Amino acid sequence: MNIIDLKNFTLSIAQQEKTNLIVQGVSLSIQNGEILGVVGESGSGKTMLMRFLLGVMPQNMTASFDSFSFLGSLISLEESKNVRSDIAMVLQDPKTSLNPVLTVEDQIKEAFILKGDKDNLDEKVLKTLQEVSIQDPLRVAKSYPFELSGGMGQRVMIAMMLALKPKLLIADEPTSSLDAHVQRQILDLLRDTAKKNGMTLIIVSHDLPLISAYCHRVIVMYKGHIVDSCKAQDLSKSKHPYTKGLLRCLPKLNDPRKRLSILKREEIDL
Amino acid sequence: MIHAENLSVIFEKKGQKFQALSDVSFDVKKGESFGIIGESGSGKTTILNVLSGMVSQNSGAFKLNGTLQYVFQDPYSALHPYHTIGRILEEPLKIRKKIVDKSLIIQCLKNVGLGEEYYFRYPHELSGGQRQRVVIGRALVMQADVLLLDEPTSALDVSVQAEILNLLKDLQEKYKFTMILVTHDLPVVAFMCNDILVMRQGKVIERITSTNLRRGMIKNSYTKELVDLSF
Ligand SMILES: Nc1ncnc2c1ncn2[C@@H]1O[C@H](COP(=O)(O)OP(=O)(O)OP(=O)(O)O)[C@@H](O)[C@H]1O
Ligand SMILES: Nc1ncnc2c1ncn2[C@@H]1O[C@H](COP(=O)(O)OP(=O)(O)OP(=O)(O)O)[C@@H](O)[C@H]1O
Ligand SMILES: [Mg+2]
Ligand SMILES: [Mg+2]
Repeated sequence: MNIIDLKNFTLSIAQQEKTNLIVQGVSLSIQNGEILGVVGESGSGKTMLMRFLLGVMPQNMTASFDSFSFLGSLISLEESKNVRSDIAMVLQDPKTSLNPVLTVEDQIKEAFILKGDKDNLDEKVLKTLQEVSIQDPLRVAKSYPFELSGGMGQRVMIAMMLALKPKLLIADEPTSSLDAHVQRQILDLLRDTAKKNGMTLIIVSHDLPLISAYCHRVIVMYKGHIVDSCKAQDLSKSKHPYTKGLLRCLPKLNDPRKRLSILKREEIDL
Repeated sequence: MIHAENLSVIFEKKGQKFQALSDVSFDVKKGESFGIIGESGSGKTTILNVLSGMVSQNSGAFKLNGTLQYVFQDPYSALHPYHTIGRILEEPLKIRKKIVDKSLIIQCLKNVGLGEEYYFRYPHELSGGQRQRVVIGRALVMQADVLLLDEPTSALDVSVQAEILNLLKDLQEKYKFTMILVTHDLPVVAFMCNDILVMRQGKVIERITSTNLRRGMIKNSYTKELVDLSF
């Protein structure tokens, strides 16, 4: 079964008397339990597409689609504007999305309580923090967001979202502030949770090798379109000029050079 | 240019002490790019916060000559929410009494791959990577002697990353500024920096050249692990 079926989705915004298209005619089906990677150009509409799936769009934007179903039920355009409680999203700017005046402990507890889980919360908070590889959970539980490092903020956000036990977890750049070691642990945790709870996972990231290693399938976005889609493990063999161009821009540890290749955008037509 | 000796930082709350940095020392020569990598929570950002005067060390000392610009790890919080991008870029120049004309700002946007149309936009109308580019553009337009960069390209797609890293190298060659780059991306740090500090739990565990990092001539087992586990 597909958890998401979206046909011909377009997102636009009226700006200074003209209409800008942010996402243009995108169709997307995601299987239950699938791990989908989303990569692409900065500003290509990845975050906006994800916010639409969740049901949190900026008010000045207008969405349209031919059809949209979530968990097997059709959703109307009006309904699509409401937050879907079965979806959780780890936002791209974790520290700004945490509540600055609540301790980590209180924020994670809120997530549990929202799910009707009210017992042994102290214990659960510590366990959750350990699961996201926080070394001193006691200190971190009592910390405010400003007292966390960038990567700790990301992990607290992930811990909170997992506590919500969503059917679909959208993670927008979830591990960009983590060292290689912790990054693996977090990705393993996400993958294991997905498997154990039958959760579907979307990972948005600029890290092509990571997406290729951890996802089942990947879609590539460019200027509001999905321009390429393949099995994640075949990403490096893609024939699409944009995907190939991106892969060429990656610096490599075993390839010292004075300058990095850059993308020739004029050679890519849609 | 930058000389840091035995920097230690202790955060204290309700009688509980937490040591974020223990005896961190390093030197960076003028015009050099210096990298800092290591565990999440190991004190990398705290080092930059000390150098920029945002956090004061409990012991140790440092010397830093010249003007300084700091690109924070969290780009959103660094941009005034109610100012247009144009104003955000002009303000620091005005404060330093430099002459500001619109063409300079447009050039600054262009340098980081953003078109003229971003001049009148507000930060919340930008994608994560676009905001990051504004922050980098603002730091570069100031032509400071020292540039502190905390994960400057982790929110950028790899093509924009390549353009910005090339730009940083070109500008450094031209203006000879000194750069400290904090990142988790080993290929990025090896591309940008000759000298790299590896941090874990508030301590320097190794100082290594990018050549040795590339060749796997690594002394510390944790550094080795970071290399092996990188994608
Ligand atoms: N509130 C808004 N008003 C106007 N334009 C907006 C608004 N929010 C986003 N945009 C524009 O929509 C486009 C898509 O933004 P989105 O955040 O989805 O990009 P993205 O693919 O997630 O990029 P990144 O990789 O940089 O995070 C961008 O060009 C951005 O400037
Ligand atoms: N203002 C503060 N008050 C209390 N503790 C703090 C404060 N700032 C940082 N810390 C703590 O100091 C440690 C080092 O934080 P820092 O932000 O320097 O780490 P980092 O190496 O930059 O990590 P990351 O790669 O995750 O960004 C962390 O354990 C953090 O919780
Ligand atoms: Mg985004
Ligand atoms: Mg940091």
